[in-house]
Amino acid sequence: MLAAFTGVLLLAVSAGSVAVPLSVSIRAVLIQFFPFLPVSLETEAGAAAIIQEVRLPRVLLASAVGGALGLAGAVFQGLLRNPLADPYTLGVSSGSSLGAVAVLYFGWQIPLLGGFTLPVVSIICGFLTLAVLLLFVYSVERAVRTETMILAGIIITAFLSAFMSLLIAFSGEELRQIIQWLLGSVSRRGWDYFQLIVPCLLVGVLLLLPQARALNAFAFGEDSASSVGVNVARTRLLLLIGASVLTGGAVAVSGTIGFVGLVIPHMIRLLWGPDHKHLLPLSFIGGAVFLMLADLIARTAASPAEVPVGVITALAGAPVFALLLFYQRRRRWQ
Amino acid sequence: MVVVQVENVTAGYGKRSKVVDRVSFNVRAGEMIGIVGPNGSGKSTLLRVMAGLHEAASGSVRYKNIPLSSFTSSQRAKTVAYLPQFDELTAAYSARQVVEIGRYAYQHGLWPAANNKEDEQVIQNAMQQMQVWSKRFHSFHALSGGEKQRVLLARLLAQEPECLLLDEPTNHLDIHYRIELLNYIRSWTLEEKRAVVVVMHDIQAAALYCDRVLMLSQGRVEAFDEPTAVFTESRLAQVYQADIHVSLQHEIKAPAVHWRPPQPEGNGADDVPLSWSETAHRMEAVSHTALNVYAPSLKKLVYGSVFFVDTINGAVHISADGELTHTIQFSPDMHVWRKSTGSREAVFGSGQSCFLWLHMAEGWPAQEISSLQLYMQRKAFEWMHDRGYTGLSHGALEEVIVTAPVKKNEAIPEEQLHWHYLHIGELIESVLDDYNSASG
Repeated sequence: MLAAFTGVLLLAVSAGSVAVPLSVSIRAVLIQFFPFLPVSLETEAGAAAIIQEVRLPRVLLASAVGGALGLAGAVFQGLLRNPLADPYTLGVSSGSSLGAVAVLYFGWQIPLLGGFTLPVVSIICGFLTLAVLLLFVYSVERAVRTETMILAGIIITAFLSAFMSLLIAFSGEELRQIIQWLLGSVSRRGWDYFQLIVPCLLVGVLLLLPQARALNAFAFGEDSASSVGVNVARTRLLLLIGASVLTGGAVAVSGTIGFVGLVIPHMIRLLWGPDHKHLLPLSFIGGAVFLMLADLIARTAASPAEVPVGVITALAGAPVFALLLFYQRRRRWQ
Repeated sequence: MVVVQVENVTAGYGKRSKVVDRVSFNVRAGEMIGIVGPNGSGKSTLLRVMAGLHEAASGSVRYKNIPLSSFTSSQRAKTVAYLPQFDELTAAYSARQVVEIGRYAYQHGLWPAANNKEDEQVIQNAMQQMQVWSKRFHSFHALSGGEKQRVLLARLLAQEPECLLLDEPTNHLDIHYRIELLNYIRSWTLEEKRAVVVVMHDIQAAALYCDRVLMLSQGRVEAFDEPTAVFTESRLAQVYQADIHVSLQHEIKAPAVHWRPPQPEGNGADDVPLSWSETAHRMEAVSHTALNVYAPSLKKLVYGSVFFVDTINGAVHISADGELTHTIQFSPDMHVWRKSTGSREAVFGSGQSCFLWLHMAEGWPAQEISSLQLYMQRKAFEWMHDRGYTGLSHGALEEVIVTAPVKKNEAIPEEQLHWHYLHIGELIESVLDDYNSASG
C-alpha cells in the first residue's frame, strides 16, 4: 500500500498540463522533503518550480484530505455500526460547509487571516457543530445510544443545510464560487492549506489509530464492548472528536468531497477484512491514493479545464466498488 | 466460596421506575444460578446491573467482596463476562477475531501490535473448550446458530472471568444446540469452579441445569432456592398466571415442568380433573385427607384419599360422599411399602408410610383412569410436599402411590384389591421379595 502511495504521488506530480519527466519529479520531491540531500535541479528549475510550488502541495493536500476522509469514514462506520455512515453522517461537515459558504456569501475577511479566513472559519464552525451535537446528545440521555447520535446528526445536517440553501438562494455573483466550493476541490490551494490540515491530520491519526482494538470490540455493540473492558463513554468521545477533527479539517480545505469516506473503508474491508488494526491505517492510505488519482484525472481528463474532483470520485469510485462487491458476494455464494 | 454478592439492588430506567426492586442473592464458585420470571420481571436489567452496564439506584454488587463500582473497565472485564440477549455483528469478522475481542482488557500499548503468546494460547484454549477451534477461519456470519453462540461463549471465556452472566444464551436455538450449549456451560462451571448466572425463559431447562434458581416477579425476589423448592405448581401459577404442572423425574434430581395444550373436542379434551378440594383430619395413628376431584368432562366427582400412616397396625376408614364407606384393616399382606433413603426398608409396623387411595367407578375407559391416576399422583406429591414430608421428595411417588379400582359405595373384599405399582413395578417387586424372604 505504501508503495502504491509513493507511486501514485510521483505519478500525480509528474502528470498535468505541463508534463514533467518522472526523474525530475523524484528529485524535486526529494529536495522538498529532504533539502540536505545532494540532489540538484538547476537545469530544470522551471519544471521543479511547477512541482514544488503547484503540484506537490496540491497532490499532498489531496492525499491528506483523502486519507482523513478514508480514516474518518472507517471510524464512523465502526463506531456507529452502520455501513452507510460516512464522515458527513454526524453533520460536522455541514457546520464546516455552512461556515465556508457564509464566508463566500458575505465576503468576510478576517484581519491577519486574509485569504485564509475561509478554512479557519470553516474549521471553527465544524467544531461548534460537534460541540452542539454532543451537548444535545448527552443532555437527551446520559448513556448515549448510537441511534440517538445518528438521529441528532441527521437533525443537525438538515437544519444547517436549510441555512446553506438560504444563502445560496440569496446569492448572486457568489453562486458560482459557492457551488464550486461545495463540489469540492483541492486545486489552487498552495502550501498554506496543506499546513492547515496537517495539525488536524496529526491529532486525528494519533487519536484514532490506537483505538483499533476498541473499534473491533464495538462490532458487537456497546454492551459487549463495555463487557470486554472498553471504557465506552470515553472511547466513543475520543473517536468522535478524532474523526470529526479529520472531517472538519478536510472539509475546510477542500469542500465536501463525497464517496471517499463511504466507499474506501468498504473496499479495504472487502480486500483485507474488517479487523480495524489493518482497516484504519489502510483506509487512510487507500483514501489518500484514491483522492490523488481522482484529482489527477480531474485535472488531466479535460485539460486545461478542470472537472470537480467530487465528480471523479463518484464516477470512478462507484463502478470499482460495484465490481468489488459483485465478485465478493458471488464468491460467497459459490 | 461466594463469588458474587448482590445486596438489596434496586434499579430502573428513569427516576421512579423500579424494574428491579431490592434484590439480594449470592452465587458460589462452581455454581450455576438461573434467573427466571415472566417477561418484564427485571431479569435482564438485573443482569445488566451485575455486568456494570446499568447503574443501580441503590444496593451493591460485589465480586469476591470487592464492590463492582470500584473496578476499572479492564478489571471488570477480567472479573465478569456478559453475553447480551441480542448480539449482532455488523462486519464479517472471522470466528477467531471475534474471540480475540475478549482479550481487549489484557492487551496493552498504544499501537495495536500482534498478539502475544499468552493471548494466542488463551484464545486457542477457549475455542477448543467450546469446540470451535476448527472453525476459527470461518466467517462468523457463516456459522450455524449453535456455533455462533459457542464462539460468543469462547469470547467470554477468553476474558478469563470469575463469573459469566448469560442473557438467554439458548434463545433461537433448536433442541439439539440448546442441549449442547447448556451442557458446555454446565461442564465448564463444574470443571473450572467458576460462577455462572443465566437468565432463562425455559423453566424446564432451569430446573435441569441450575443449582439454584432465582425467581423474579415484578422486580422482586419471589424465591431463591433449589429448583425443586422453587418450582411448585402454586408458585408457577401465581407468578406466570398459567396452569403449569410439576411432577418429579425419576432419574434426575429436578422437577419436570409441563403443561397441557388445548385438545380437540371429544378427544379426551377435559378428562383431566380441574377442581380440587381436600379435607383433612387426623385419626388414630393415621392422617387422612379425602380428595374430591371433579372431572368436568365426566361431570363426576372422583373420590380419593391420601393417607399418612404412622403405624400400620391400625384401620383406615375411607369415606366417599362424606360418608364412611369402607374400613380397611392394614396388615402386612397389603404390601404397603416405603423405600427409605439409601436403603430399602419395609415399614410395616414401624415408621411412616404414605399412600394414595383412589376410588374409581368401574367401567371407566382405561385412558381416563390412567390420566386420573397421574393426576392423583401429582396431587398426592404436592400434598405431601406442602406439608413438609421432606423424606418423601424425589421418587416419593414411586413408593407411595397405590391405586385400586373399586366400585363406589361398595365394600371391597381384600383379596380383590388390585395393586398397581406405577412406574416402579420391578423395584417394588424386588423389595417385596426382600421382605418375603426376611419374614418367611
